[in-house]
Amino acid sequence: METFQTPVQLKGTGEGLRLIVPEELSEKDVLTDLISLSSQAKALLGMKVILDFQGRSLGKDFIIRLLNEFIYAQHVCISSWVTYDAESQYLLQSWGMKTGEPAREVSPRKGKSCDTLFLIRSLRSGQRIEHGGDVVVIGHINDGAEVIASGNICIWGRLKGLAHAGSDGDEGQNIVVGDFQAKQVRLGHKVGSYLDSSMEWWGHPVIITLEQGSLFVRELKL
Amino acid sequence: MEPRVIVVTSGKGGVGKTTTTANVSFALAKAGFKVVAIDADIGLRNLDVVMGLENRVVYNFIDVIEGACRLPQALIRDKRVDNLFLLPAAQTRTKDAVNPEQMVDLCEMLKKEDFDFILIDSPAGIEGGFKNAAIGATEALVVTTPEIPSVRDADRIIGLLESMEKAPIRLVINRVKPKMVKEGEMLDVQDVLDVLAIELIGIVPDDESVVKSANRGEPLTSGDTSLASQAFTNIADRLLGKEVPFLNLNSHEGSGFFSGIRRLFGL
Repeated sequence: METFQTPVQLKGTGEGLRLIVPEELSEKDVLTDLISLSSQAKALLGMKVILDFQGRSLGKDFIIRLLNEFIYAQHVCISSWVTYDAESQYLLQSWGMKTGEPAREVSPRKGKSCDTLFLIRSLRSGQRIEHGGDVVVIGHINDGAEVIASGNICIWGRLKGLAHAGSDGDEGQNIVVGDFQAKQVRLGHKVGSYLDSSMEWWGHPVIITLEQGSLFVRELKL
Repeated sequence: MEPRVIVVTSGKGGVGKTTTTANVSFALAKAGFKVVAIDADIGLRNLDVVMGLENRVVYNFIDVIEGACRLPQALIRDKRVDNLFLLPAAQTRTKDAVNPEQMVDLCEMLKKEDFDFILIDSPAGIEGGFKNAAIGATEALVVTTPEIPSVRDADRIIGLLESMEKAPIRLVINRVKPKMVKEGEMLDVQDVLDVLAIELIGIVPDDESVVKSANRGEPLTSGDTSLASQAFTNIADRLLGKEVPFLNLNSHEGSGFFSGIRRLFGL
């Protein structure tokens, strides 16, 4: 019986070319597909490639075969290996390979300090503001509302929706909230999720910063 | 007096828009006002069933808009109370059958019929159906249940209503279960108000009588003595500008009597 298999997909992104390898494809087919793709199109030459294995578990032997038969043989430049499988991530990292989503190049923050949006109102679900500079909200950001700023964000009231500071990639920005109750927060290219009411600062004033690649939420005590 | 055109809406489906429209319309008519309830949920009409008038539907408001009949022919008079009319939706058409200009025209036609209140039962959602229902209205009743998804959708709808410059926008919190609130398993009224921050006009308890009345096609406000019936009557009274205290649902867990009604707020 013939079974349907999705071949390896190519996707152009801001960080280079992304090769999405479907989980259901056998290791043998993955290699065959990748080799024929690169030799036929020569598309991978000179491009940074992200190898996205989705949730696939990568064994030592398979990685060595990928290196020998695909990466070295076809002169492919891999910028990152992506897999959700924790053991595979650990293995790749122990071999000194870059894993996870590649960090985008940080573009310098546009605008000056006077580019501040001062908003005296609350944002309801579905409402969104995006601003190239700092944003100060004197009001609440309800669940389902979004504030996106290339600079800092200061919310006087309650944050239940999404706040994304440093949206251009500048990770030196901060988010300050009067009453923090959000399930997710973003700073630069980092996403902080798994936030819930069990956190000690939940419902308190907080400052959120990015330090050494990790998001820190601290209760703000003035 | 200039007729008051009120859209009853929610965003989320199944929270009690139709029940609220039917019961508040009936209560207003009982109070002596000439009322028409419009079912704007084209293709999924229910108001006729909840009001017990489904067997009398001949024409619907799409027929009026398209000129297939005159407005008075499509209006169904409720025989249980003076001055209550239903303008049904078409069940065999879709929301695309009308455009906003036609809905405005329909409201203008109804205003000329000497109605005191025009209540429009909006479909769920935020797309064309909702916008058509809301466009001809000046005021809004937003119905929510004390559940997070429902409150979030109500918040979305309130944002849209504000951008459409509807005022006042008032809130009905439906299906409140005092026992669950007490146990901390359900949002309480203040939690909902903290998020939505609009004027509260009614708190309706979760009550078996609501299901029974919908199935029988007899609005609660036509004579039922349940707490939910009282809550809907109070909403109508507050729409008329009366100061009516909110029911204290905590003293009525499962009782259904009025004896222990106390003031929840000093409003």
